[in-house]
Amino acid sequence: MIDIIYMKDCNDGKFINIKELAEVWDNSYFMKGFKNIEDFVSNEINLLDINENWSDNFIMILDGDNIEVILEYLEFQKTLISYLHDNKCRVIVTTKEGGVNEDGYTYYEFEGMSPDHEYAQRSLDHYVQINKIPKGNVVWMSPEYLIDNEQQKDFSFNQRFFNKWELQLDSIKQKYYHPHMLDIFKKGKNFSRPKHFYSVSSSPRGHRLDLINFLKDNDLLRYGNATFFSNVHGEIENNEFEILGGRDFKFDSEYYWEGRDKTGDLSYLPTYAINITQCFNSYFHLLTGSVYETDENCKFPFIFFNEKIWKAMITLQPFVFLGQPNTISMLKRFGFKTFHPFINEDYDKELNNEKRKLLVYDEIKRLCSMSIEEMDKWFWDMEDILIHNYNRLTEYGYEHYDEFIALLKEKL
Amino acid sequence: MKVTFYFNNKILNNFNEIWTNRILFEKIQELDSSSTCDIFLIRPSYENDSPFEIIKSMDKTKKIILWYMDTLSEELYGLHQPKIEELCKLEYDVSVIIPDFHLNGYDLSCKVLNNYSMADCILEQQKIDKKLIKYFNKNSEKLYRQKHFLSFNGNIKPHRIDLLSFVLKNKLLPKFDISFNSHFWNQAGQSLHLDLKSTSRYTSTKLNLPLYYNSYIDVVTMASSHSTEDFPRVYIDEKLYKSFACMKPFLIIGQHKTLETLKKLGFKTFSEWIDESYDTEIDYEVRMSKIHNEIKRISNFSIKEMDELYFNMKTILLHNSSQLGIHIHKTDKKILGIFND
Repeated sequence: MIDIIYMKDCNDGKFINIKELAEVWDNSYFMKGFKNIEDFVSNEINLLDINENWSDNFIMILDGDNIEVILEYLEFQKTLISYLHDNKCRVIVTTKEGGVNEDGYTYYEFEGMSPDHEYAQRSLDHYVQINKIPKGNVVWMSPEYLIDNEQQKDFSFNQRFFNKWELQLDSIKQKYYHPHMLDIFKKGKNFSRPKHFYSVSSSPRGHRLDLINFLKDNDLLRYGNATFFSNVHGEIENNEFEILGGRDFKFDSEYYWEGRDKTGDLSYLPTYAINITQCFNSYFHLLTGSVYETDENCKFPFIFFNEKIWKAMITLQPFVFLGQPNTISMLKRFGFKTFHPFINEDYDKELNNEKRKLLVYDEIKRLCSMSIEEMDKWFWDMEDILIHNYNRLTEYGYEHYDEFIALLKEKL
Repeated sequence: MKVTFYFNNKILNNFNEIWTNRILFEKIQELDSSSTCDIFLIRPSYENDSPFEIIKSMDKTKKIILWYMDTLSEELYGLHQPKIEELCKLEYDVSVIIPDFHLNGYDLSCKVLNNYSMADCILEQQKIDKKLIKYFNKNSEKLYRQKHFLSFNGNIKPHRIDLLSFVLKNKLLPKFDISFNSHFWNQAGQSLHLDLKSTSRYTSTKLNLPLYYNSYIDVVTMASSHSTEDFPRVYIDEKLYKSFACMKPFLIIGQHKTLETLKKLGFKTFSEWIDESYDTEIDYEVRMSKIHNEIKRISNFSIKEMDELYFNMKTILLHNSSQLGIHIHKTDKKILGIFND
């Protein structure tokens, strides 16, 4: 049995101690739908009470919303610091949505700052170093994939990729979308689809505004169903950005921030919801990443995987991705198939932000210049790839949880 | 029962080529009776499908059914009616099965019953897609749809041209998922395509659920909008049955009294929310004008208002969805009764 203290931030900056196994299924670390993690939790985990005597070999999971709250919590846990220092426990920390803040920057960027910088004093790196904690005892898990594992050497803690959004979306796929998506997909062979593309983005970011302008300037909006910034929940103030397309989800904002809706159906929540009608009425998905800008000289180049790519796979659509470079090649590393030669994916290798954008735009233009008949043939020629990716989502989820289980089992 | 089916005046060995009423034909074949019967399946618009001369060369002891597979225009009915009457006078045991509802009755001295055109195919598809329809219905609870109206207009007909002209003139195209002349490809600029593939034209019994669930109301342009005061008739086909299967409310651009006929068949309509006075208007121009006004009025609704309107109609939509099967069952029962007489 593995002793675990599971602490969860309940959105108010305070952590609560999860003591019942049934309560770990809260869609952060532990998601239903994967037998390996379900069996592991049922048979191999012993949840500890934080207020009782600690064993000499346990893992603390700190499931938080933002790094500052996590750091504040860690700094005040003096006993925990001594346990970490003495190799008696390991802490695994994460933030629900990765390390990307509202401006689209990641907390890793803090690592390169001067020690005098205000953020530098508030970094995990600083915490580990100042408390002289052995490197392996603090694990930062996040949906950011560090492109080069050599980068690990520069951290004072272990960084592990936790593909939270993939697991989350596949869990939802299994519960709410499977096998209907496959059925709709196959029956769709009888018909052509009215639109070339579908694109949805809730939060306004520079590359998304550029994309709208590109689509407008080139009169391409008529080829797609595009919804930009109309499903947002408080991010836009004073009508700062033009909303494009109608609101398509019936969200109840009162419940949204609580992470649930009235029915308890997670697929209703904006981040997880998929407009299947629009997806199956168009041929390809025009995806925008949460992060776009990449510094070619960045010390810690990474890829942040949000929910969008997985949604396109659930609805069996090929996609063009306006986001960080190397995302496409990373997907291949995960065992997914991408769309070359049907889509020119050269943009994925282009580190220059402006050039990459232009390559993506060229490809959008080319695809929209195809007739619906051509597009239909183009689409069905990718049938095997689309089905592979749909199935691979679940396989990959299992593999990913195997890695997570191995981490929890790792000896101190 | 010993029954022989004729199609194109040749004996039919299987129903592979038959697109409607197939299940009913199989039921007729299975009837436990010693009598014999010849059933002539007639496609009115095909000249070769006129069976009258062949029948006159046949034995009068057998029951003969003239089974019309498609709508019979006023003109064609005028040609067929005396020939049927002649058979009656010659004492053939003739019955007629026809999908057109003649609202003033049939001027035939033989037994006449109504069948349905492709309702059974849509019911079959509704059963096949049952889980997906349920899924799309559930999904509708969390999604707004994109369009106010859906309208399929594969073949060019005057009332379809009128609809499209009205839509274009009033700049209502963004409110519609609409096809026009879409059975004909490679006519640049003359077609609006929605979902029909050039390589597979015959998909009229399949349900394109993502498209049906992308809009709130179907504007169904029927096969014919022609009906006269002297010869009022209604023909209903799969276009409308698909709206029932996909739980869509509808405006009908077709023959007058189509809604009245539907109600007689047990379906419900939407007069609480839609001005359906167009249905009783015999004059085509006035009828179209009333429908156009209604489309215009509804077009002014926001998507949220459309959504509320749609869900207010839910009880009726559910009723019509299940009534499709009941309608077929009742029709089949009546027709099978002929063979038990």
